[in-house]
Amino acid sequence: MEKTIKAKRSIKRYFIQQLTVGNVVAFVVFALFAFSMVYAIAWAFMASLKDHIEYTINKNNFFPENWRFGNYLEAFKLLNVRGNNVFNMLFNSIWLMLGQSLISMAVCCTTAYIMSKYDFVGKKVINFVIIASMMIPLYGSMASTMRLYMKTGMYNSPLILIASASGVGSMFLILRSYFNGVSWQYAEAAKIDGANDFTIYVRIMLPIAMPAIGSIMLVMLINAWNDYTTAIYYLPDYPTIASGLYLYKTIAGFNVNMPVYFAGVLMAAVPTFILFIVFQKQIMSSITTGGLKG
Amino acid sequence: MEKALGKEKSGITPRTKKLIKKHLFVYGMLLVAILHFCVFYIYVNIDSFLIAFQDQHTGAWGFGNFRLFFDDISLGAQSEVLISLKNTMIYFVVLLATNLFSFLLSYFIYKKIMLWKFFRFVFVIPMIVSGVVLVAVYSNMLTAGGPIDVIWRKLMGDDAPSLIYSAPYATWSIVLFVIWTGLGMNIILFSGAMNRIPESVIEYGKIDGIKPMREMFQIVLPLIAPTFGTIMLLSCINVFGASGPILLFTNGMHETSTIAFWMYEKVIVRQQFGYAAAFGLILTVCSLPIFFLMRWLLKKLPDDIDY
Repeated sequence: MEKTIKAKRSIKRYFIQQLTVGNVVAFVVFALFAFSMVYAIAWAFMASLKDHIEYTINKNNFFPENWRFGNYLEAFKLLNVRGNNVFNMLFNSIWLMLGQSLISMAVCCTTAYIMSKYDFVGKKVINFVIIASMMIPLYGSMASTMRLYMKTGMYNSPLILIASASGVGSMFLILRSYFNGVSWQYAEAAKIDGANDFTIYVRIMLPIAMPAIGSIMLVMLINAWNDYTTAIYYLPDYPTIASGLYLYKTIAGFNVNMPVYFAGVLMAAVPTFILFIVFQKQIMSSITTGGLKG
Repeated sequence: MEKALGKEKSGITPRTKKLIKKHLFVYGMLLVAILHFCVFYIYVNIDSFLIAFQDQHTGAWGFGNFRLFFDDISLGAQSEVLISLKNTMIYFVVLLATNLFSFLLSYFIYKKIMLWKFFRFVFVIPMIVSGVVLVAVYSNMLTAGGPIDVIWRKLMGDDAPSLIYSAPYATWSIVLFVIWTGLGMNIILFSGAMNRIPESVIEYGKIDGIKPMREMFQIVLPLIAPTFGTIMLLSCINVFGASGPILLFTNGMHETSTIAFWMYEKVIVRQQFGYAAAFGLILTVCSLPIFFLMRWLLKKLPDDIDY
């Protein structure tokens, strides 16, 4: 009895504490924001279950008259871009996603480790160049990058993955600061046992850094899956799921069967969404540490 | 640390041997990154500078590409460059305002406002879901017959204007989309930075009986200011890079083009490499003073960024 009164009081106190002007304003903004997001997704889901004609004529109804789950099957058949069906696109999405993330991670991680743990002639210069290249914007490089891709045969070819082998960027900064926090004593101990520099990196340091690498990797995979620009810009014959959905709509114009299109669009979001639900903790921590530290 | 390197050059002592071995290892490990940088940064930017002054087809040197640029500007209101520039400025101002607004709002997520976990989950959705998906949903909600259109008709008793497929509204619809998808993400980033404030600092304030408002403006926000400042600074330096998903919305029609989209259109679609490089060079030259101004204004522009 006493406990419930106490609990009630603490709840009451909690609500009073929450009742400041700032809190109320912030809560209203957050709530509106969250509502719009949830509503949009629900609306798209309902739209994906409607009949093509019902969708075009009567958009006022939130719920479909007949729940056409068959739209989802139809999306598999209908989405076809320049002779690529859904499975081709899926295949392109997967190799592009894995290739980009793995190559970029391997190079970034190695660069970050060396820059964090070794003192060597030229380190200051390299450090300066990395930071300067990240800060000074150079706007015209897209044209010459495209020229380079065309000259070397990287354009419209899986060779485009070579471009991912960059050691600079925000991933470098996150990983370097992670390695800064890893004690060098493990390496010293291994050295006494006769390990060389490379074994120390591969056998000792990488396993220690695995949790950080893993959660950054997850975010990279999600970004790569969602990226449509690489495929639209440089891989016209290799449409991915993301770029394929865009291309399908532009090619089909106003003849698109919108409910079926929405079914495809929602299915494209499923893999990353599952990844997020399963690894929510890791992804959240990776995203929140993505901010710049003062 | 490596002072000994010069002194012992003459005779190869075990120490120099060790040093050489170490440098071979270090540069071996950095080899891929260095090669990549040389090709995709140094070569590309030098080439970009050169092709700005070259005729794309004949290879002759000259200022033809720059003339194209000034010809376009002389069209006035019809000028693609000026429209792109104007829209880029809109996105830039909105970006700064969104940063500021989300900076203030993130305090409440940090303070665990009611349902904060749910809000945080919803705010991450734009990062998890592809822009293609979000734009498809958003633009269909705005077009004729969509929920926004329905509400408009009920309130105004008149058909809503085409919010995405007509000139004055299209850019603002995309701006709203950028805020809609970007605000939550920023809030998560900033509240994440706030979580790294040492607990003891906040506790001190509490012992002194500090009120929430003062805690927000005098403790939490100043401590996060460097993070916030760096993000604002980088946004300012990259002013001409501000843009939205123009390609997904309108493909640049209805006066929605931005500089980033203009570049895509000239390079990927029309392959006018020289023209694009020339405009890029002009933008780079224009943004360098901003870069140095920022340095001078803040005097403590970090020479190193740390996450």
